[in-house]
Amino acid sequence: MITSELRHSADQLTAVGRALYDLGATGLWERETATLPRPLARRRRRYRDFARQHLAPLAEAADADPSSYDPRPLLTAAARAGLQSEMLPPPWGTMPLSSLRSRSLVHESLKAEELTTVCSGLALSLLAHGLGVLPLALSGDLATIRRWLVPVSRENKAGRPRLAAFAITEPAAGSDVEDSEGAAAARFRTTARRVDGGYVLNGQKVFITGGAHADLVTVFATLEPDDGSHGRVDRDWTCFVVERGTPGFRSGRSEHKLGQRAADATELFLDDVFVPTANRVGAERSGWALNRNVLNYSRVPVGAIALGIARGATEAATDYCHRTRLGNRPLLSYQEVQLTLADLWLETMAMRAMVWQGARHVPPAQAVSSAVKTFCGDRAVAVSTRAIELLADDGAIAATGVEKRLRDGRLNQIYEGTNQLNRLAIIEAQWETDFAGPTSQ
Amino acid sequence: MSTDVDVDVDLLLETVGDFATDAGDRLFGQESPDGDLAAIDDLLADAAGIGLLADVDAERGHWGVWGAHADDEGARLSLAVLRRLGRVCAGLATAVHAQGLGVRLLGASTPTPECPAGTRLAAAFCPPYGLALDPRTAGDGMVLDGDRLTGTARFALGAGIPGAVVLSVRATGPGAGTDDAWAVVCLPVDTPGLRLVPAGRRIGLRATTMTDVVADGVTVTGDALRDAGRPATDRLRTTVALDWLGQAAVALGCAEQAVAVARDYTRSRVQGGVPISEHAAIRLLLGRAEHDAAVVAAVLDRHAGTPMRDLDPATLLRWAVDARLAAGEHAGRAVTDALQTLGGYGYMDEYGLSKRLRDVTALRVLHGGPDQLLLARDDLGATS
Repeated sequence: MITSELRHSADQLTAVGRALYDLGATGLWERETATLPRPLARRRRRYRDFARQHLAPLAEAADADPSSYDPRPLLTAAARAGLQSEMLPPPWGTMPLSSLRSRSLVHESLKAEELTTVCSGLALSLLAHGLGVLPLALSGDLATIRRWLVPVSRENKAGRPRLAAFAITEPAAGSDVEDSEGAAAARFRTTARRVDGGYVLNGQKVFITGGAHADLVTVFATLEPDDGSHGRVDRDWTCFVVERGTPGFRSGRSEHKLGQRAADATELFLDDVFVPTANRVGAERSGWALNRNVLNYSRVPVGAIALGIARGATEAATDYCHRTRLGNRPLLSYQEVQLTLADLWLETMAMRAMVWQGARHVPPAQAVSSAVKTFCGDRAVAVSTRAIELLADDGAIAATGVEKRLRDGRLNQIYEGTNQLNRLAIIEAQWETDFAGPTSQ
Repeated sequence: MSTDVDVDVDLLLETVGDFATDAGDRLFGQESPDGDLAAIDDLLADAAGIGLLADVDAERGHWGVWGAHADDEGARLSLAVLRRLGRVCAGLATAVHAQGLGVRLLGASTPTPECPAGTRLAAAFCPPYGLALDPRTAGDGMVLDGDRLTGTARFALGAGIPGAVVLSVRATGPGAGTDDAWAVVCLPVDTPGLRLVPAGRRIGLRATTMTDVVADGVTVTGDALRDAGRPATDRLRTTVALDWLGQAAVALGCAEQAVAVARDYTRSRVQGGVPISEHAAIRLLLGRAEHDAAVVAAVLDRHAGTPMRDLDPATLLRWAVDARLAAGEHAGRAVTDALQTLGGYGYMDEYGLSKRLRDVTALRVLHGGPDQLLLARDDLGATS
C-alpha cells in the first residue's frame, strides 16, 4: 500500500527524477540476485530451484528421523545437476572456466545458502563432499589431482555419485586441529607409519560428516618421525586418501545430534590400514598447512550455511505472520511484529553482505574466513532464536519450521572450529600486521 | 529454631531430592534424546504419592506444587521443587507444574463425581496467538456463549494423560468485552464435543503433555461451570502468573545442571596441554553462565517468601513477567554457553546438554513470547 502511494507521488517527478528512483515491486532476493554477474545469477536460481525440488520434500522427515530416509536418490540428483563436480572445469567438472580462479568461493557460497535455506541437514550431506575433495585440489599436487580429483569429478558429472569426506577431528582432539597454539600439545592418536610401498594408518576419527556414505575419505594422520619421537600435528601431519573397502577401515556409529540431523556425523576406525604411496595427498608432513588452508576455503561457505539457516528462519517466520491473526487483524499488521521481522530481514542481509564480500578474497584469508564463519554462525542463532520468540508457542512446534533452524544453526558456532577459536584465528592471522603495534600514519 | 512448617518443608525438599535422583536414573538410564518417556506416568504417580502434585482435593494436595500451602507460606517451596526437578528433566518438572496450574485455575473446590480426587488435569487458557490477558485477543480462542462452549484453547499443559481439562474462557453476555468477562469451566476429557488434539512435535519439554483443546458446541451444565466474572478473571491472572514463575524455576534448574555438567567436562578435557577449565575462553563462558543463573535466582526470590494471599494480582504478575523474561534470556544463555564449552560433544545427545537447550528454548516461549510479555509488563507499570 505504501509503495503504491509512493508510486503515485513519484508520478509527479520529472522523467529523470523517476529514473533515479527505484520504485519497482521487486523482492529482496531478486534485487540481490540482480547485483550478481549474469552467470552467477543463473547459478543462484538453479541452486534455489534444485533445493525446492529435491530437498524440500525430504526435509521434515529427514530431520525427524534421519535413519528413515534414503539419501541415495538425493545424492544422485545432485550429481546429475552438476552440484558435486564444481571443483573442476569441463571436461572433468561443471565449474565454468571463467569462475575457476576468482569465483569458486562465490559459487560454493551461493549453493550453500540456497540449499540450507530449505534444509541445512540435507544441504550439509551434499556440501560435505566439497570439503572432502578440497585437500585434493589445494594440495596443488598434479599427481593427486589426476589420480583422485579428476575421476571423482567425472563420475559425479556423469550422475554417478562418488563422494568424499574430510576427517580431522578425533575423540580427544576437536578444535585443537584448528588452533596453531594448541596443535603442538594436541592429543592426536591417528598415526601413519612408513612401510614398503606406502603407509599403515591407525587411529580413530569422530563427527565426520558424510563418513557413513563416503567412497573415499581424506584422512589426516601424524606421520611417525624418523627419530622415534612422538609426532606433532603441526610438524608431522600428513593427508591420505582412504577408500571405502580398504581392509582395516570401517565406519562406526553416527551420532545423535541436535540439528543438521539429515547429515551424518560418523565415527571412522583405522586398524592397520595400508595405503599405497599414491594415496598420500601432497608431500609428507604438509598436512598441517593443508588443513589450515582447507579451513580458510571452507569457512566462507560455512558462513553461507549459517546465512541460509537464518534466511530459512526468517522466511518461515514471515510466512507465519502472514497467515496468523491476532484479534481481527493479520499478525503482520502489528507494529511490534513488523519491528522484529525487520530485524530478521536486516540481519540476514548483513550476513549475506559479509559472505559475498568474504568470498571475493582470492585466495581466502584466514582472518576474513574466520570472521565470516564466526559472525554468521552467531547471527544465525540470534535470528533463529528471535524468530522462535516471534512465533511464541508456535515457535516451539516443529511444523512451523523455525525451531529446526535454531537447532541447525547452533552447530555453526561449533564446527570448523568453535567461534571462540575462530575469533582467536583472526588475531593470529593478523598478528604481525594489524596487531603488531601502533599503526603508523 | 525450626517451626513445624520448616520441618515439613525440609522433609519435603529432601524427599524431592531423592525422587529427582531416582527419576534421573529411570529416565536417562540409556542414551536417548528425551529419556524414557514411557516412564513419565509412573513417575507422576510416584510424585503424587509423596505429595508433590497438587490435587482437586485441597487437603490431599496441600504441599504439592502450587497447592494451598502457597497461600500462607508463599511460592518458595513450589519454586524450589520445580527448580530441583528442572535439573533432572524440565519436561517432568513442567508436568508437575501443570497439575498445580490446573488446580489453581479450578480454585478452592471440592472433588466432584466428574472430577474426583486424584484427577490429572490439563489447564488451558491460551488463545491461538498472544496472551489471554491481552485485550486484543478478545474474540480469539474459546468462547462460552450461554451454555455453549466453542473454539480452541491452545497449548494446554497436562500432567501425563489428563482426566479433565480446566479451561479459562471468554464469556459472552453481560460484561462481554471487559476484563471481567471470563469463566472457568472444568470438563472431563470424554465430554461429547470436546477434543484434545496433540500440539505436534515440539523442540522440547516432551515429557509434558501438550494439547490444543477444541470445543465443538459443548454444553456446559451443572458443576462444569466453576466460576464467572471477576473471581474467574482473578483466577486466570493468578494462574498465568504462577505459570510464568514456575517456568522460570524449571528453566533455572535446567541451567544450573547444564553448568554443572559443563564444569565437570572442562576439568577432564585437555586442549593445548592443559585442562580447558584453564582457558580464558572457557572461563568466560562459565563465568557468564554462573552470573546468568544468579540473575534468575535473584528475580525468583523477590516475593518467594510472601504469602500469596498478601500479593495483589498486579504485583504477582509483575514479578512473574520479570522472572519469565529473566529466565528466557539468562537461563537460555547459561545453557547455550554450557553447551559451547563441550564443543562437538555438547551438540550430541550424550551429555544431555542438547536436550537442555531444547527444553530451555521451549520454556522461552511457553505461553507467551518475550515481546508479548514486555507489552504486558508495560501495562502493569512500575514495580514500586
